[in-house]
Amino acid sequence: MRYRIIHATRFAYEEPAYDSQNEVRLRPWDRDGQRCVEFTLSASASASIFPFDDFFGNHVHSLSVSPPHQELEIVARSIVELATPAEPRECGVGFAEFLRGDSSRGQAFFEYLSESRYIPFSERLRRFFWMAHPEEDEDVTVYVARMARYVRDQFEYETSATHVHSSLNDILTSGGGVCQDFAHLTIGILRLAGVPARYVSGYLAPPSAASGAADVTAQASHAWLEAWLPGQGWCGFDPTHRCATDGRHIGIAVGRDYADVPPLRGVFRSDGATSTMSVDLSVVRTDAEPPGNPGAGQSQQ
Amino acid sequence: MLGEKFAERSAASRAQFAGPLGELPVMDAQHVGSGMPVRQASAAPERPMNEMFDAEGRARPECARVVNYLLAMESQRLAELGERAHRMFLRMGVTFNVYGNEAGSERIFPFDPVPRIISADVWAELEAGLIQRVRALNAFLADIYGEGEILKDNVIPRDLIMGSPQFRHAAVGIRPPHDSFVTVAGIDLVRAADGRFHILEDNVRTPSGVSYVLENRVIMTRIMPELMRALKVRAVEHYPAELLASLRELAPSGSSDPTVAVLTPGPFNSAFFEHVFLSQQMGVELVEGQDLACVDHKLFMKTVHGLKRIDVLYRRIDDDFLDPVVFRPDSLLGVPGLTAVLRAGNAVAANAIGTGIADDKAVFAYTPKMIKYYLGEAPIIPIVETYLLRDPDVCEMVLANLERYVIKPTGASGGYGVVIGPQASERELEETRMRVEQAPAAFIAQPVVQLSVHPTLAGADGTTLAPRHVDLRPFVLLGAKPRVLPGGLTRVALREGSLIVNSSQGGGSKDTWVLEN
Repeated sequence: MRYRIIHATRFAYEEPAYDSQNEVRLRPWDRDGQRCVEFTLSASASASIFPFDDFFGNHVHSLSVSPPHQELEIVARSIVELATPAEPRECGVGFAEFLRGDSSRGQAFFEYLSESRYIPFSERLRRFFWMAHPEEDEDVTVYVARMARYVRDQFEYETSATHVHSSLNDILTSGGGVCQDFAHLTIGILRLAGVPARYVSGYLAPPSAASGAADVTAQASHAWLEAWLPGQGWCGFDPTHRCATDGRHIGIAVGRDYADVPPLRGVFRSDGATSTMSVDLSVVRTDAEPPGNPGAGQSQQ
Repeated sequence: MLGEKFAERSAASRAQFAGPLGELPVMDAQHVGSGMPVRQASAAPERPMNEMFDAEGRARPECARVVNYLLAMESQRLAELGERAHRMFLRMGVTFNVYGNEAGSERIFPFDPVPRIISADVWAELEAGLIQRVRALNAFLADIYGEGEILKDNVIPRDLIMGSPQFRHAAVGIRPPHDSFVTVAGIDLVRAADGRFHILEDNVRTPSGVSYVLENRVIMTRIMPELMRALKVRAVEHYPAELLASLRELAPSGSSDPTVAVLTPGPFNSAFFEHVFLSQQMGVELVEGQDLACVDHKLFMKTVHGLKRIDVLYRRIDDDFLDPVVFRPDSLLGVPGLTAVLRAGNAVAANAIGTGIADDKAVFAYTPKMIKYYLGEAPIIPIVETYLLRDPDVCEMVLANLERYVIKPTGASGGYGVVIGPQASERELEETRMRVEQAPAAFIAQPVVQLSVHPTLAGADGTTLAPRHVDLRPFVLLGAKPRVLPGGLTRVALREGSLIVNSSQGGGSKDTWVLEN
């Protein structure tokens, strides 16, 4: 599959903004059958852009705009080639055996086995885990896939229940959430079970030529998780859609949780109190589809 | 025996010298073998080493002249010296702030006019040991924010580093010129009962205290000029010039005449006086975050003539507050975008971001291994033995004998949160036990070190000399080459028997005289 992605973020300020300093995580990664063959990042105002790789191996751009500006539009354009990943296979390792290697994984994957800002090991999470813990002889892959379905079975997809800074306690309280919440919660369970798990920010391409607007969960900006499976390494699972990742999941960045991978993070100075942000995102399949299809609309934010 | 004569002579002039064999509560110090802490405290508690007198009460050779000088002095004159020094400090406005103290937060750092003497031989070894240590800490930082070889080689457990709040993920991949992470280090040393110096802790974030060293010297030069001349005391006045030279050596290549600035959080910081002092002495600008701007991934200072490029920033703001893009977004003290500027290599910060992981108190236990790993050398100065309570067996042993240990939180500095077992009440011990049980990895334990004592002005009228516990914080600069300030800050616990020398906890200071050969 080949996709063209245009991700435009527009800020409008009440009073002119200046000294705007941002970190941008919008470049799709190059690994595991995904290749970002083209990427450009531009800004409406004159910007200084410096690229680097972060601790987690993500491609980041530092983008700064110094002169006063009334609005700022940051546009990321990517062309991504993506092979449909193979469905994770059973690893032939049951949990009892898996956990015997726990201490070395505890070193190598420390950050993906520990609690993190949005994934605290709270009493609530522990209780939830007790209802969903692995069977002693359960295959690790089978368990991870089961959890990706289980979490979604327990909770509604509800955009109003949580917000971008919600931790997993919020979804456990409200009983509903969005892809970010499902990913955080599933990661929390897997970490408690001893399976290294990390958060993924990315895009979900629309299923077909149809606009996809009927399905509220098919928004293009998406979040899922990767679990580390013995013999297979990092494998993607999408708890929002109760499945392993497929040829529609375009990955951008990984981290301990959302806090490590926001698409755009920054500060600016201004005399005005407020600014408004809007996102225009299109993910279009270009190899099989006729051009001009706008794809699914808004980001989840 | 000079010590006795000294005591007699002093007694005769009413200056009571409690002396090398005087009344001092001796605590339950103990030797602990490597590995596990021992269950039994040693049977005979040790006497602290006296810095001026040997066990027989004779003045140590390097101290003989100072002892004679003090002997020849009327006790009233001694008290006058103390008062004179105090008035000078007031006039010079040498102050520090104490956190958590509402009324009158600016204080004078109490000064004791009896100098602490270090012989040329002892200093030569210390200096070599300090340089070795700071080089190893610097190599460690370059490694863990780079390839992480020491973790791959399992010399230090990876989870110890990754689990520390002092490890800055945002600093990974930033490579300063010369791999210089630690430009300024303050290393705390204590002298144990056996007379050997030991490392108590490292300070490689934004260590402070050097301004007191320089001010103390100014005072001593005025009140004991003839003694200083006679003893050939090594100078410390050149420190600001050495600091400036070290900072300029860090400048990104291409800047032939680099501009340095000192970044302060402002007047409410406990070390604001020092920030002012050092910037003045170096002849560079003192700036706050709002005076700086990052433009085109370069660092600038706003001046009335427009923007002026900054090459090296001597920052005295903690990582957390340094750049709201990367660290605490609510910080108004820092410089938005600074981390990206450093990463782009267009400016250098001293010390670098993330150095706190090297003075984490749990990581401290691994510093001897670091020295071997990076330098292939045996440590010249030993560390105070340190037990990581994250190990359940060690934790159990320590909790069973809590009253014998010093318990320190791994993250804090400045003496905050430290519990000294032998001096703690039952209730304090019980509270400590609960905190340790809740989060063992957040604490370390060390045996109580019987800090050396030094004659110090005491008594209500300041006419008595009595032994008080001291430590030593030398300052090490690591630019293109290492530079060590001769001596350093001798801190003294002014309360009788107290082992806490931190200025924030009621300590004072002395001038430290390193003698020329």
